[in-house]
Amino acid sequence: MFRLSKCSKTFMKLSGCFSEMPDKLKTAPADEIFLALQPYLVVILATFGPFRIMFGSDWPVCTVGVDDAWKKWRQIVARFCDLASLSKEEQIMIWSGTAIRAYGITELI
Amino acid sequence: MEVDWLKRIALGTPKAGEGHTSEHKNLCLAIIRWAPVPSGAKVLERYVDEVEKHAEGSFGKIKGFRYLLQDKPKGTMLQEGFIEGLKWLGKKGFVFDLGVDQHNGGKWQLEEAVEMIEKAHEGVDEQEKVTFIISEFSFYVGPQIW
Repeated sequence: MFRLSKCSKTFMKLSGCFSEMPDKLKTAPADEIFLALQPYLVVILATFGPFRIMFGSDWPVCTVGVDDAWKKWRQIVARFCDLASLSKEEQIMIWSGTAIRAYGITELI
Repeated sequence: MEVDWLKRIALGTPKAGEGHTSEHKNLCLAIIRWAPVPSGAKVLERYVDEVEKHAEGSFGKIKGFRYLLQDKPKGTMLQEGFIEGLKWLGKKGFVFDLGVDQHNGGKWQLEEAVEMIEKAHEGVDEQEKVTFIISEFSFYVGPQIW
């Protein structure tokens, strides 16, 4: 992961999680899932940093076997931003800024 | 088919029963679709030309392409054609969505990914280097916690 983060022009999308979890964790409350993922999220934050991390939902795959998957995943990422004490600017990058920059989106409404 | 459906979303011209309305077009800012990246620059270019014809006004929203690698054999992403395809995407300003899976696929996928990125960037001007979006977080989640 460290070597990957050293490559130029690479960004990390925080998605695709539920499909890799066992059913027990999938149906657990958001807080519990967050705790299980925390070590991995920390490594990604330390290597890529908020300016190269973007939110992603992995929709519709994320909905398989998970109720309210989108809401749940959003809560997990929000909790992560909160606990990592990310500034407003850094949080904006994760929710939208990184994606706008990485994909080169110019035609915003 | 994928192009036609995404076009209807991007341009706000839905068919009845598809679950979106014309206002939803403003929510769709970028589209990343599949492309035959391993086939090399020539085939890729022909393919993207076809996509452009079909996508019409929605083509501007296509910001990049993806090709899932997690279920492909070792060495796929390091083949000459694949690297050539990636360089072509970079030259044209398209991004590449990378899907690898360390959890199910094995650690080599991550190692190959690093090598692939280095090869695709080798000898390329900074502004023409292809951008990689590592699209699956799951590959990092190792089997130890599940």
